[in-house]
Amino acid sequence: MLMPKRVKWRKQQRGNMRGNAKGGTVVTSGEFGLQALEPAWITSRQIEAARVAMTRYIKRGGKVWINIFPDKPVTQKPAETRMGSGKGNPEFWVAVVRPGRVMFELAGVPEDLAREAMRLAGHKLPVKTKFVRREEL
Amino acid sequence: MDQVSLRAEPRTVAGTRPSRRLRGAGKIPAVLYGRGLDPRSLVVDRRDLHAALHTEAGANALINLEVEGEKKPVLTVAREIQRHPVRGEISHLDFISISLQERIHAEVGIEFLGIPSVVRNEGALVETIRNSVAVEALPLEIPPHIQLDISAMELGDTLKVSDLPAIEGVEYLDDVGASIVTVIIPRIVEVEVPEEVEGEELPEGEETPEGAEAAAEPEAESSEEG
Repeated sequence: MLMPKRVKWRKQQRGNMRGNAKGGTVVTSGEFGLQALEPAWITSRQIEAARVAMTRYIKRGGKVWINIFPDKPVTQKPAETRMGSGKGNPEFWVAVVRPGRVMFELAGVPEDLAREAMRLAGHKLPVKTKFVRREEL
Repeated sequence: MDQVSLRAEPRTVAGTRPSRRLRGAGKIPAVLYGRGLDPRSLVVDRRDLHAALHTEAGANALINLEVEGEKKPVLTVAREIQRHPVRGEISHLDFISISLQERIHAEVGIEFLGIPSVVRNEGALVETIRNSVAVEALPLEIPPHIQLDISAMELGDTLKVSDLPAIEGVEYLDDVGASIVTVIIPRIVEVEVPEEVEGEELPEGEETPEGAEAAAEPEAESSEEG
């Protein structure tokens, strides 16, 4: 699963997810993409599940790009712990995704295959998604 | 390249809210400048703009902008087209005044012709590294597409900007060594991930998140199945 190799600070504040994606809103590397329509934290497990769903469906052939990276640590306090005593332990990593972000890209497969692979991948993610194509000039 | 006409009205209002109201009414705010013209705020009809930008020339269409209240139309090209990140609708664009006698820069799409035999027979994959190229030419000589024959490509071959066909009057601005398309064989489905966060190592004795440790096992499985 994806996670940073090393980080400067172990714990982060939560931040917010207001507004739309500022960049990464168009398909650049591949031919087709999966675009988020809602804001969410996407965990490294969800990214991996989506990738596996996609690659299993397209089998051989095709190339997958993952455009999001889970670089934000999420902390949790242990169960049945009294409040206080500081912030909890880092438990997993998430990527902050805002509406419009193209999360996955795919190339080298026919459109119908790509559409179905992206549909399967989208079901592994906590956001509504849209299938997008690379814009022609 | 054909020229298309587009009607525009001068725009007196500016700012987020008035622009949002204009978009709601089917209009798109724009700005006109270039070649000694003072910048002018305009508004164009969304449907007319869509028609103007969806000719064979695409975003490089030569647009004769007929501004209301002005006698002569202004020859322009559309640049800096801003789109809504989710809906993809155009939210603003610039019209740059040009002259038919002056060379301009443009981004032209590359059209790939044919399918390499290794793709048909051996399951190879055509990987497109770039699908457009920057050119300089007179406005009327900008091609709508640049065609590149890839049918003779073999496994491992790469076509570069220097392999693009020479077109009279058109100069390629991109680095001649820049790759355009390559033929690879996908042993397993490849995954490219963005670069990881750089920073200091975790202090000794501090554990990585539990999710991270659990990650090691499923990763081995997933890499095999691709």
